[in-house]
Amino acid sequence: MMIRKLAIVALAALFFASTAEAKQKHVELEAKAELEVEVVNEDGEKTIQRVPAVKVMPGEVVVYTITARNVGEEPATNVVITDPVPEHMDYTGSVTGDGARVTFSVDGGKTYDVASALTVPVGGGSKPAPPEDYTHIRWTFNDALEPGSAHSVEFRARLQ
Amino acid sequence: MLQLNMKWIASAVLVLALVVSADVVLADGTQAGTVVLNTALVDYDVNGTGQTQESASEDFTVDRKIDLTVAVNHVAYVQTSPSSTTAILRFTVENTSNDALGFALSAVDEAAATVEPTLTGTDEVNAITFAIYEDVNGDGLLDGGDTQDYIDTLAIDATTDVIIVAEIPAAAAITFGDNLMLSALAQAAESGTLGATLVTASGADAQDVEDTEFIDASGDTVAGTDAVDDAIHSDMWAFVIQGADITVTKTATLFSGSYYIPGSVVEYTITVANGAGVEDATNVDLVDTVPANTTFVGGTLTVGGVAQSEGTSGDDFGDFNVSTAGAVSALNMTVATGTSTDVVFRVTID
Repeated sequence: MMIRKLAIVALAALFFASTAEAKQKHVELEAKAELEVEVVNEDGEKTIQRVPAVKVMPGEVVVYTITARNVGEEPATNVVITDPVPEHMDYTGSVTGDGARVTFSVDGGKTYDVASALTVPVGGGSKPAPPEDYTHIRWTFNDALEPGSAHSVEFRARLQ
Repeated sequence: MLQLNMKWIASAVLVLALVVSADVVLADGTQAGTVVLNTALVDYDVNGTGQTQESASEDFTVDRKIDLTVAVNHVAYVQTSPSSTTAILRFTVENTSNDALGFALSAVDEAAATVEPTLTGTDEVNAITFAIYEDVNGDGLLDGGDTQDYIDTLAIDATTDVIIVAEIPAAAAITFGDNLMLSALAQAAESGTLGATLVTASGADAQDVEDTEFIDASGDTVAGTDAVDDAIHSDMWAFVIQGADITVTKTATLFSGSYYIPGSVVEYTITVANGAGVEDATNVDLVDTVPANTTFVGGTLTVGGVAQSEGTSGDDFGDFNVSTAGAVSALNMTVATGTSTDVVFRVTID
């Protein structure tokens, strides 16, 4: 029994060592989908709590949180997170991206610009793009992501 | 002025934007069970060198919202008459869920004090029998293809017609009404039969499982059977019993001669009137015996201003001394609501 366990540990160590050599991963990404629910505490105060997106019906707003974590030993620079707005969802116009420049695409990720500069064609001309027309959201980090540190960005989208 | 115009244009553009965006979203939302996947990507450099892109995904499964609307398909209450076996109330059932559903249909004869909609009349009549059908071809009538007591399947956003066919008692009093309430209970969609009862999620729940949630409003709650979030919706409507409202008046005028003395001719006008706002009266029969000591003057009988062949019954409305001895008869007349028909004839005083 003991011997078998040891063998597994040794195998696992070998495996990790080999992958680390072949492809060094410095930044890990994590995505979460959550709902915001109003909770009344014992003092009768209402607070907003986030719960996993378990019950999602049309019209529900989902908070997506994407976290980049530097698991390497060198600073990661020019960090750019890109998130296509999921199919069946409409971006609501609510985005959080402290320490990052947030740009959007309305053409399926071909071009990105700040929200105020985005237009979509209407008739012969164009009009400001409504948030639900956004196809991609991009966060370009201002600063390097230092080893051991993590940075999260968020956006909200409504289920069609 | 220019400023005003600009403002107007700006608001027009805004309205257009709202309209366009509203079009994007389906009325009742994404189909239940759809897996909505979000994938985020990260690109970065280390020591000035581009690294392999990393990604992370998270999905959830769209839950099934159960919502429905039962609505009456009349604007005024429905007129019917005593003894009618085909009194019909029309409703619609709309599936406002994000999944195809079936519906169990039921109806109750409500004993509400007033008829619905609240106009005149009270609910003092009870239908002898009533039955509920999905009016498959939507013609408002009971046909062979109509299914009784259920709708097997109704697509997302779809609406179908439902009828209640009732039998009204012969003794039903005119102007009184009868409220009937239709309820639809959402079921699983099936083909050709009523589907299974729906069950909402309880206890353990997961992000990647399609759950069922009832989010319907309460409908007419006279019976207290239709609360919110119970997969039931209902609406009540009324029959109002309308018969015809026939009145008969008879006047006599001297047609020839100065006095009511032997040899003078008297013209009788019998007016058969039907009241306004009631049913048309059909098969109205009038029989008036010519008074004693007078003699019918041949060729003077008119019905509605039209001369009648007096010697034969059934060829037109009127006859004399054929269908009833010694009497003027006007048979099988139709008197529409709000109209009257005059039956006129003359007699000579013996």
